Amino acid sequence: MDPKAVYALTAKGRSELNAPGTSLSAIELKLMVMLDGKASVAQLEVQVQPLAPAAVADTLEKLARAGQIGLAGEMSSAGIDIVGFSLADESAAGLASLKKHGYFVKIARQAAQMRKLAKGEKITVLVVEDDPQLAKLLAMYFRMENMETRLASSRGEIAAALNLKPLPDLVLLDVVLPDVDGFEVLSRMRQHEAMKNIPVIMCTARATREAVLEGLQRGADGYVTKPFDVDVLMKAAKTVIGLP
Amino acid sequence: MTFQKLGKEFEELRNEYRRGMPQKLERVQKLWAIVSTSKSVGRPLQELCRELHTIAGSAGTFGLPQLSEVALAAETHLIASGTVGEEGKQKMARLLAELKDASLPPG
Repeated sequence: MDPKAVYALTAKGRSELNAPGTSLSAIELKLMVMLDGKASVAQLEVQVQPLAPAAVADTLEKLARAGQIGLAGEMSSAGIDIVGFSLADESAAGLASLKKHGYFVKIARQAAQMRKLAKGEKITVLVVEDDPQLAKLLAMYFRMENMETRLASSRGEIAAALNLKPLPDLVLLDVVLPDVDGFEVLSRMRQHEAMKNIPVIMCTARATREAVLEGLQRGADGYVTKPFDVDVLMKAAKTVIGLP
Repeated sequence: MTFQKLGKEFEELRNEYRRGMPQKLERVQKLWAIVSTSKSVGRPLQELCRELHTIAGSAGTFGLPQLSEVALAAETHLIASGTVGEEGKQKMARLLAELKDASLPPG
């Protein structure tokens, strides 16, 4: 694959990335987030290290075959030289837009297996959120979906909630919390034998491409930026749990 | 729970959220007063960023999208350059005034 080739998301790809219910793999998702804008193969290979360049190329080819991404031009030795449009201009406009408005996404990976609930069985959701009204609102909506919720807003409360049995079926995790970073909580969960497979959706106002990539890199199953539409968040929750 | 009850509960929560906003904004102003006048501002600055971040994340969901946007702009500005120079301080003061306006009920 030509390292100078520049790829971008197609309309289909952008729609897939923002439909809460994607079946893309973790690496495909990361590349799609990076390509939400445009990037050359060489840039992608640097950014997704330690993934081997061959794996990046394979994934890009697969995404291109599926119509999720398309060739948008190429980088010349003199700098960025794009067929049909200027990457420099679009890049600058994109960056200005990101600075002004943030990088808002609603990503949710479809669970590997659909979940069938036994009669009377209820899903338990741990909501980690330090805004009390928002936490109540989420609990209210999960109750509407016949799910139980546990609320936590600090390191101690998170630890206590994760020590309760049964383990939650889903963790909705804010990033900016009073005494702990949500990404750190996610990493610890992914290192814990009993918790490493619990679906986690990052639900945060941390709306930058870097933050979204960090969440996916650390093993989040979804990333929904705030402020969110509650219906979208509920759909994302069901998707990562494997509920219809 | 019926959809009707859900709607009523949401309305109550939204009202609770809006009632609590003046107190949150007062806290933001107090923290900014410390941050904009003190030399050592580590912790108050961190708290101010978190307060703004929380408002940016929640206000839109409770039907105040403008408040979310201004809070995000203030947080972004603060992280980038809010305490550096007179111009940066003036911009922050303007954003905080906008924040107050955006929190008021329409009309």
